[in-house]
Amino acid sequence: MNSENRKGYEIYALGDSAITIEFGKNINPEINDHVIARFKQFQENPIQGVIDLIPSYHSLTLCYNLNDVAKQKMGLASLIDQVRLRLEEPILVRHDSFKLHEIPVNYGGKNGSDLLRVSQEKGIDLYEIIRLHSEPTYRVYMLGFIPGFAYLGELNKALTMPRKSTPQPMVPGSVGIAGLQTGIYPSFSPGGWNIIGHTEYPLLENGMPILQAGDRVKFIPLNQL
Amino acid sequence: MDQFSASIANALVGNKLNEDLLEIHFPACEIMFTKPCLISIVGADFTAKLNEKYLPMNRPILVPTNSKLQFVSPKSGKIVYVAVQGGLLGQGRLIKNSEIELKKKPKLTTTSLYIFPWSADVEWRKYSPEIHVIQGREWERLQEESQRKFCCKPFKISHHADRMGYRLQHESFQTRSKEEIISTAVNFGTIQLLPNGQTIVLMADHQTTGGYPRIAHVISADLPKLVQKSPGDEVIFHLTDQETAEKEWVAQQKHIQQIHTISQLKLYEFFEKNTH
Repeated sequence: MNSENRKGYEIYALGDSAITIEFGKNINPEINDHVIARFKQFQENPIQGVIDLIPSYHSLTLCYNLNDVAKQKMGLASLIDQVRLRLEEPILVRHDSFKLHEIPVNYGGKNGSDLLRVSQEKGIDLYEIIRLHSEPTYRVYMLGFIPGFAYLGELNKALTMPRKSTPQPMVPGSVGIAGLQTGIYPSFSPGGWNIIGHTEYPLLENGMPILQAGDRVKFIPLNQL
Repeated sequence: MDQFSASIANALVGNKLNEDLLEIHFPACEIMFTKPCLISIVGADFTAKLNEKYLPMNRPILVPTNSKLQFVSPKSGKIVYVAVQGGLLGQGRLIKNSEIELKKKPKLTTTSLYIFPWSADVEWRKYSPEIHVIQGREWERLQEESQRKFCCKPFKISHHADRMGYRLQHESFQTRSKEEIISTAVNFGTIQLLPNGQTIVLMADHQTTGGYPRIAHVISADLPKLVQKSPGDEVIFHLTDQETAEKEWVAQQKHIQQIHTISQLKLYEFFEKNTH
């Protein structure tokens, strides 16, 4: 744990009712630790008018009540000034504490139907894909896009695949890859990731996510290698 | 979804503006009233009937016991709101063949249908195709020609339109870069560019984060208008700025607030007169 004050950040508008603070340009554990620390800072000491906080890999989004912000003399500029002041305050960033989840995965088959296509497009043997995917200990960089969906990184560069051009229906437990990310769909939803396997590991408990930002994940292949 | 209509519906029956109410899509449910209620119907016109009698929209209506409310055919819009004075129990719940409880026991004793002589002005949300947007973080990824097309050409809402997102129909947009972006936050009204050059506008039940380029965002004041569009309806996007978006929003909220204040006053007068 150390005290840090990141100077390099950028603030941009996400429509007329949210702003995003971007702390870096890539997926990087240190940037993500910083995002989580700032997230906690804004959570513990909320800014008037801010109604939701969404942390991601390298950014933190503040959703605000447009009424409150529009009423201020300078509108959005006043809110951004307050945010900048907050970002001047040094905060404690933790790099050390995390929980490890070992998640068994059945690769391929009916519920991992994109494995074959990934293998063909990448020209990599099926078993090698399974080995490369289950080799690293991943970090939970952020939670989103639906409750309990954990974005894990960083995927081996050899497995980089684009998202599908149109989202498809997903079943709970689908293990997918996209770009340098991997993740598990916790519930029925549309999704654009390439599904290479399936897990029965519980991802939600009473609607609350089991995996938390900063946790670690190791995939255990159930297939005979 | 359509917060404007929902607020007006609540305002008409004297509720607080964000009171729980029914959001109904077509084909719609039938509602049986087992107690007398003060209701209002705002949003899409699905041809409302109470015990076979046509009901007007945007007005307070006193409904007697044992009345059946039906929506027989969709005329315009996509979502209708039914507010009940005092509010309903069951926040954010999908209702299927079940009883809905009222938050407060009604003190009404009406035995016949009564339609109030005043109505709310909902002109704000005229069904014009014009929708204003603010540039998104990845706007510059669109090639110039695609940027121009995005701004003035009419697009149709596709059949893939639900509470999560409305997909639009247009020729594929071309991008300068196909570089994957790191998943980050999205918002109600965010317009994402899909890898096949098509676009989707995220709706109320949107994902919190996404990895498709965000080319623009619909301003909050125009969301109610967009939400009420059905598959096949046209939209035309116009670029605007934060300042205009704030002004439009404030003006719209003022309009709702005024209807709220007047409604409360008129309802109070009405019930005073009728109890003495």
